[in-house]
Amino acid sequence: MPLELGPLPIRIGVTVQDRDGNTAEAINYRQGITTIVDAEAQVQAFAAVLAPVTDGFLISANLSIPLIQTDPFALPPEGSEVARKGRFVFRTVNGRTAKYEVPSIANTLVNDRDRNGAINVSDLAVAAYIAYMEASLNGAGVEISNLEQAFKAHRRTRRG
Amino acid sequence: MATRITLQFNDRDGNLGQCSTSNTGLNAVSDLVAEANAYGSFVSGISDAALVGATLSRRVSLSIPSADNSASNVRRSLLLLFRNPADVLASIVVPSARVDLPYDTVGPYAGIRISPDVLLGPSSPIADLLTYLNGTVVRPDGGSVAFTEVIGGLLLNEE
Repeated sequence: MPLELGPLPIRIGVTVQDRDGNTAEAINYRQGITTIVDAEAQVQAFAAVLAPVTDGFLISANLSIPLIQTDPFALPPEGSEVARKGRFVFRTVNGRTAKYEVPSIANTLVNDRDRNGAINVSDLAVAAYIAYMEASLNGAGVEISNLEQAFKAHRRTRRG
Repeated sequence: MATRITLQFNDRDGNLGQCSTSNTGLNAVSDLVAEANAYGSFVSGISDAALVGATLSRRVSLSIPSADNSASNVRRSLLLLFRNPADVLASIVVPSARVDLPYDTVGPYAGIRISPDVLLGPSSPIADLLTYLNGTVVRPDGGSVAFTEVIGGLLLNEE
């Protein structure tokens, strides 16, 4: 598989807030964690041992697990541009919308004659992406039901 | 809460783009890695950028109030340096260090340093942290430091 766990550890960040509302993060790294339940337990444990040393309010925490690309990949084509997004707007089963973007949507999939830059949803690869997303949940754990719109958009980028 | 799967892409000019989705059902990290690969294959099918990496991330709710935060200030931090016998260092920074920690009372570091003897002694203010670390601090690069000495000192940030 191309994406794998690399040598880098899991990063645990605990956000501390002072009485003025300013925040800073205490960071710790851990190795050998194999489940999200274990990782969350490590986060809670780290927060608990910070508490006697800080007089701030421990308000939130996050964990981050880096994956590395182990397959060699070809240089992207000249026309690739991550600022050109494919924007897919889905409806969830509770009536909300869920928006997802694809960086550097392939130009061949965009109908340039359409003033909104509609994406060709009948293309097999696009249809496969849509089917995958429609079988997913949004960030709140709500099922995604169907695609509403798919079009090209431009957004800012940062240098990688 | 959901685990966020974020994919990172590079275009021809080296610009970095990201996209993400969430997964609430998987617990094993290996399953989440497989899910990241599945998501990556579908996105790569319609993108002409190169998939260069990914991150699994998760927010965790905390609610640990301070007993007395009247002096709290995140610009005042405690820098803990962990050193092994080969002089390899690792560090942990604790924001808004308590003002009543046992800082040195005499000497050139009075008021700003906690001596190694105190930090590793029987009444260490970081006893719970030492138990949690179990003798080893992991560095951001994945290396680890099996420490035999800890030095603590105030770090004042000017931001």
